[in-house]
Amino acid sequence: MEAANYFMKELEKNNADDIILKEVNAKNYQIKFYNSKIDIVKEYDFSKLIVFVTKGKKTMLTSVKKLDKNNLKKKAREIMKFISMLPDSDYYGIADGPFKYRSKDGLFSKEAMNISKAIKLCEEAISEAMDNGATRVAGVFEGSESNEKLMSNHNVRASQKESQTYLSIRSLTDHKNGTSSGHMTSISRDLKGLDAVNKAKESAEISIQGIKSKKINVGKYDIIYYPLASSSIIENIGDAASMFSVETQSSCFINKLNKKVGNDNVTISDDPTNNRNPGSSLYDEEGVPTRKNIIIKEGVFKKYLHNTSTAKKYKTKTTANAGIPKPEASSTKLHPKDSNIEEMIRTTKKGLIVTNTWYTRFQSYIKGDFSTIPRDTILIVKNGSIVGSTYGIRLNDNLIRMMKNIELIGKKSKPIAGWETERINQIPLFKVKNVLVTRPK
Amino acid sequence: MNYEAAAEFAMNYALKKGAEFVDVRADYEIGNAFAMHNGVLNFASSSTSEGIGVRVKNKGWSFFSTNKLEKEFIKKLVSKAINQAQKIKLNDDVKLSDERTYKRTYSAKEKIKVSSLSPDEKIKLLKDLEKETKNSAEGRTYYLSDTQRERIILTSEGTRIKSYIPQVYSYYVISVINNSKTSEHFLSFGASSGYESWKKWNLAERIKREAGTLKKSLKYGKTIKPGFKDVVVAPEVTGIIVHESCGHPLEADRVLGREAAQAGESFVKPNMLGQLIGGVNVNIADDPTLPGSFGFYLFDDEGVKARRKMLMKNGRINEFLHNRESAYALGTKSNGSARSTSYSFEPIVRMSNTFMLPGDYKEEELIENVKDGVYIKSFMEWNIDDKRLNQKYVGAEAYEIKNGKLGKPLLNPVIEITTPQLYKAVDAVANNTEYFAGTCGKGEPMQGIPVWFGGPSFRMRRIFVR
Repeated sequence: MEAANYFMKELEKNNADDIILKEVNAKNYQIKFYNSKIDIVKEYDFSKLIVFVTKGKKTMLTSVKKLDKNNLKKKAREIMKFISMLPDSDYYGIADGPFKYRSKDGLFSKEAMNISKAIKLCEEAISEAMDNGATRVAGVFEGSESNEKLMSNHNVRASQKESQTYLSIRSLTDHKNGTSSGHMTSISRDLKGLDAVNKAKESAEISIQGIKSKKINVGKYDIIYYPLASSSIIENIGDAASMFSVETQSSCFINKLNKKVGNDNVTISDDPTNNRNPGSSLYDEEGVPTRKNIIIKEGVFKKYLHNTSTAKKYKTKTTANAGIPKPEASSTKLHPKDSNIEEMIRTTKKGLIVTNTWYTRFQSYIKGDFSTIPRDTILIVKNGSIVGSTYGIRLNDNLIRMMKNIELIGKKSKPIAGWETERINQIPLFKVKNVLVTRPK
Repeated sequence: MNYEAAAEFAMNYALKKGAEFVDVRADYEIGNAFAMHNGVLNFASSSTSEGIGVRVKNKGWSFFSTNKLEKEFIKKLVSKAINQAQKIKLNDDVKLSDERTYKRTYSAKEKIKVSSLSPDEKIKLLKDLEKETKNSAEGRTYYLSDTQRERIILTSEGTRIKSYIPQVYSYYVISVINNSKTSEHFLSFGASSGYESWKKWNLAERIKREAGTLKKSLKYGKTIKPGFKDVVVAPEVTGIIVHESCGHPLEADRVLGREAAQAGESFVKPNMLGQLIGGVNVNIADDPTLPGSFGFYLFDDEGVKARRKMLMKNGRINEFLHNRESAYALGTKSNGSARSTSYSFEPIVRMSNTFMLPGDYKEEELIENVKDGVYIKSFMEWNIDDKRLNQKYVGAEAYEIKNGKLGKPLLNPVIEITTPQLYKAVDAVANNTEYFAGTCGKGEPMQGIPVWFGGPSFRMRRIFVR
């Protein structure tokens, strides 16, 4: 923190008001594979100092790379010159420390950065998928470690060291009618937690279930969403709960406080507090200890997500969702209930099991209208049984209508990451009634 | 060391350590960004970044990138990368096509230099835009950013390309309300130029016109009676169509399966070159050499000379987009389509400026010959499957066409169609080309890259609209 301490003093000498400095040193690697072979191993090694500075109601976000004293002295002057030219922002302050943080246990495993072991695991996963029906396998295997320190001139001092591993594996099965596929992802703090070989097997098993697929009629279907399939949709609920989204009219929760927005069985929180889950953090971007915030409780919208500035503006308390300069969701969690895949299938007369989606796009963020495209194997459920698979469809829904139509929720909520999602969310299997399914004529 | 010295050092050290092949991309980039919502500045940032990305072949392939440009640290990373590459099981499929080497320096033209405007002058552009448009739409988010990027590309074969590309980018999101009904629209503009482009975009007039028409649509618009109709789309819709359903499926790395677990594969197979999938008047190009364009470059990020690629010619699949890896795999030469968002990422196959070539008709003539149809001027929601076959576009501003004339506004007409159905239905192309900017996402880690997409209005006969 020597550079950060020095820079803090320089900024104060130049009459900055509020200052937050975050120093990050990160290393990560990625093993990329396709057509069942490793293509390339990539490594990234970076350090940066992220800087938030204010002068009155003027605010600025920047980063500094060269941390020698001469450069920091020069940078402090440049930043204050830049900020003096800005107009006032809608800004009300940062958090006052000091704070106590929970234990760091579980955040870090040295094993995550063992690349040799990761390459071996990756090769085993590819073989497992091939042995279980894949004709081609593609994906990435990643590991990272990040060491960060955060300080502010409002008595905040925080630090954490964390690791993360990630596997994304897609099995493709070529057959006479085309190609079917199954995709699984896994995220952990260490290599073992990825359960890489089993995930590879599951991806191949999903793929071969899609071999004999047939067209279905358009219309209303009950949809059973795998976690990977729903994560990119559910995380929009976290985004829409941010006070920033409300202020910029890009939220379906405007004027919805204490109003019914979901079925009684739907409870959704923003929860980055389980250290073992990648995506968790001890503190937010202002250094406020993170907490679990219930956004929707039993179907009723209960809370917008705030940082200190928006909280002061609306005369409430921060929810520890800074985000500089805007409040942001961290990890959106759909709370598990007591159902399972067997019950979901058994209770479905006309439905589909969607294992993955992509390209979720909104026609209106205010209304919450969206469509998304199921990718990989889609199973057809008829009168309580799986009767085949289909392809080439699109799901058309609305965020609030979807939450009101969630009928059953699975028992286990696990962290889920994917190419289509921005954050790591925690989502169980769930079933939604009456979703409009369309396809090109 | 600065980025250029670090690039040279990494190259020389990797060769000294016995690498079979090395290429290096190194950048120094300055960026500024500002965002305003309903007149209040809610984001201001300024940043610089500098670093190198190095790819080495030593039996297998490895890549590293860093912003720590000290000699000893780079030595450590180079040695590690060379060792790492040797440990990977040899994959014979991964080789690079042979290409001519170049030594060149070039830059994009910049009349009003990005560096010549102070932060307050840039913010004034947003404030003036807000002043002119504040009574037009209930919600107004305006964003403005600029970058100045110096890049050097070195290959162990002898290529050395140095470039300077300034860019200016802006987007707006407007939302209008009428009797508790809402409508939203997003649009972005960008150029590899100085601030002279800002004036050309004429955003205030565009926003006022759009807000007015969206309000009228909410007030008087009707839902469409689903059926097979003739559809005329305007350049904004043409742009997204050609980008999604022609540019992406013809990226050779998708065709070969390299993106299978990320952005997906393609319905196009290697043996489909020359296959007719569209009307004979459909010609679509990707061309990074357009001066001032947002996807501008003269040499790609593997040092291959850029050129126009005719992706679809008279309705036939004509050419894939290639980098050196995909070109080798398909037994051809790279056509200069390798791009990396910054020094920190590997170069992969990307679009640049993708557009339909204009035809001979005026837009009015396309409409005049429609008895019962739809005119879609702009869109909001769209998506396409990961093989680039099944796509959907939802109109934001749209009108019915009755007996050759535009009629009542339509509320969100939907086209849901396959790629061959779409292009085969094209029977006439207008001469009114317009380009729009976007940040195209691909790769893992995600690489958002500046592109243009556009073209003229065109007409499709008898497609299903709901």
